[in-house]
Amino acid sequence: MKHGLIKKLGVVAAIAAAGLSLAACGSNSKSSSSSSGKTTTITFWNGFTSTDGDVLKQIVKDYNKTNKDHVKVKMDIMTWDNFNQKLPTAITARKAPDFVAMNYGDMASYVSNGTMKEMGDFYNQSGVNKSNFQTTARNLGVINGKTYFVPMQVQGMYLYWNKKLFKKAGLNPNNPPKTWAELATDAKKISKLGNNTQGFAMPKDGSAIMYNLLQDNGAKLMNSSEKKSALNSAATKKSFDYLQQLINKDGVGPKNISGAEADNLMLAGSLGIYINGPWLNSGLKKNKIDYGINTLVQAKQGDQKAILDGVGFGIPTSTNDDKTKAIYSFVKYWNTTKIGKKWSLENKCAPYLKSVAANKDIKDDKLVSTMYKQIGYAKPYYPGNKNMSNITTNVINPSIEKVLAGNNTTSVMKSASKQIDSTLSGN
Amino acid sequence: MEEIDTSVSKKRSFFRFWNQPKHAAYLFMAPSIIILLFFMVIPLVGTLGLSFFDINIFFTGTKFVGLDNFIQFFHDQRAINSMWHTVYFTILETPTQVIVGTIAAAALSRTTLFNRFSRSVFYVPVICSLTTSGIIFSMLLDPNIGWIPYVLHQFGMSTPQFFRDATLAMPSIAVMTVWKNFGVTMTIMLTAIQAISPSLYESAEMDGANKKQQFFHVTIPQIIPSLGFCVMTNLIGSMQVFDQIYVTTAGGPEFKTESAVQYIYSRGFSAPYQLGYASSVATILFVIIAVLSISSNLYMSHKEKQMR
Repeated sequence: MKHGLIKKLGVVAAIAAAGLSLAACGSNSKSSSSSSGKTTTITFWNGFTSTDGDVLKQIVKDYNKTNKDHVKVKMDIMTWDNFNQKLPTAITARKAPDFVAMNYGDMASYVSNGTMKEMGDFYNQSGVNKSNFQTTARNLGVINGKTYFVPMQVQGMYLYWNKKLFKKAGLNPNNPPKTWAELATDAKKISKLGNNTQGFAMPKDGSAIMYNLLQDNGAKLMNSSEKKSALNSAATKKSFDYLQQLINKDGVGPKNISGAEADNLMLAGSLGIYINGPWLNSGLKKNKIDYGINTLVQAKQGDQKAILDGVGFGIPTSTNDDKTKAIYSFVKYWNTTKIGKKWSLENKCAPYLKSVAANKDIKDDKLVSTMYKQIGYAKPYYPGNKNMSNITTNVINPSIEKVLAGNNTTSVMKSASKQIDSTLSGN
Repeated sequence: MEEIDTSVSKKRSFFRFWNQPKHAAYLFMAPSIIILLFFMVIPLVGTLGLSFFDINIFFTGTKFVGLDNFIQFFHDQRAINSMWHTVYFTILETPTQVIVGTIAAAALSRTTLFNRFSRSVFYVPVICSLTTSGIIFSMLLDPNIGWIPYVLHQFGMSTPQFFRDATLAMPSIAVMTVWKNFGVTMTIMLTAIQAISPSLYESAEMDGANKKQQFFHVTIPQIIPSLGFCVMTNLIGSMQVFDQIYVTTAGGPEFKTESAVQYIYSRGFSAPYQLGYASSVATILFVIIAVLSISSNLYMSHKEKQMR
């Protein structure tokens, strides 16, 4: 009774506090469900706002037209920021969508709060071939031994370089850097071109780049039990020093720039080397930038280390069984070779279904096959750890900012390590 | 027949009751009271209640923790810094806006075609949303693509990193907010200035007072109540600063522009979704604003009495 009152009070306060601004974003979710034979409408939230959103809309439209399970997907696309703000309050207010596409890094905290349904039985559905999924991709959705998410897309961070600027700087436009050291040498040469040209951009919110750099240098965020920080190490110091030297001391790129601003520099053709996900491809093509894409640079030649990330389908616990069945129908459709191929080729992202990877068109596509190479050896970064998004937002991104601003790297590292310890202990 | 009579008479007495001015007043007030109740009072009480619990946004694992959240605040350097940043912003923004608004109002108080046009122009930013203004300023001041850094560069000056430099970021946000909001202060002060009796200026002129003396010894004492209102509303608004910071710097660089409301928001509505702790910081901010508002109100009332 007491708990119920608190809950009601909390719901009113939370919704009222967040509500006014969030309500402006619009509510989704009038969905109608009905027994078999009639159409089941399922609501779907995701953050594919770029050109990938257009491809997604087309796929949903085709599915709504052609599926024989009488399912209609009603989709609401918003920015990922908006998505992450709206979803928790929607779940609490019992206005959650029937299913979502969510970044893997954010999933564990939802699961630990019991707001997501298990989806392990999806792989037992007729017509679903579990062995066709790459094991690493499938395991991204496994938290504490249970499957909560089914892959929608997998991705990593890749090396982009502007061939025109490489030529201007006297570098071979067909020979991108393979190591972090080579990246620094090439970036320095490009930054000397002047006229606001930048050699390399490290965004202040570039945790994905930072995690790859830390991993390449052998640094760890947490110990093996994931109960204590392991950040305080020579490998972390080496990684922080490298970035500080490159950006703050050598000045090869802007010191205080967000990811979106760095994207704009690359899209404007004034950035030589950049590290980003597959979503940058469409903008670069649209802006007719002469660019190349390669697997991520390594600590030393011959290494093969990278972080595997992605987006997965998830179902809030408020969704009933009828709708879950309808959602499985759509997720099954998504994970067919035809759709997987369309999504990979049109959005230039690596496939995770073996049947798609084996397709000739995929193999012939230089960009997609290069990215697929990396997906082959990439591994998830602390998968299923519910503290990861908190550590990223409140510890790692602020530390990057401090490193780039020229603060003492040892004290930044020690302070970050302490904060991680405090986060892991739940304080 | 008797039943019908009773029902008609009940109806009549119902209408007669609500037709009396002292009762009808409640009917007219009811919409506002209901809105206030649902959007102010209940959330306020709810926030205060939540601040005594360890509770996340999903309402799972709720635990009563008494004053622990308030104690945690005093050990949370980022939370304390966010309060200081808010106070710093208020110190920069509130006096500047009131002074700029009052000067603009005094300068444009005479009704001429030019003055009427200028008032409209100065009021235009008020119509824009803070988010839009934030985006405009972000682009204008961007060191790579911004027009202002470009012009400064053309004159051989170095390119300032307005929103990216820890020292310049907060003053830049304050300037943007003054630009956006001073039209409101100007309009309020204009109304106050125009209500001053011309005979007071005539007397002052006869006593040999120049324009500056007239402004300080006639205009200012007469507009003290409006001035007090502007100071108080600006103070409350500044202490709740959020939108413009969220859009321009997102609290950076290195949390140097993170305001109290932004900190509350990030604690409560992003990982780790600590709604209870966020509520306790909100309660502390509420108390600070209440104390500041009441003190400034008392001071202005005292000043008003002194001037008369």
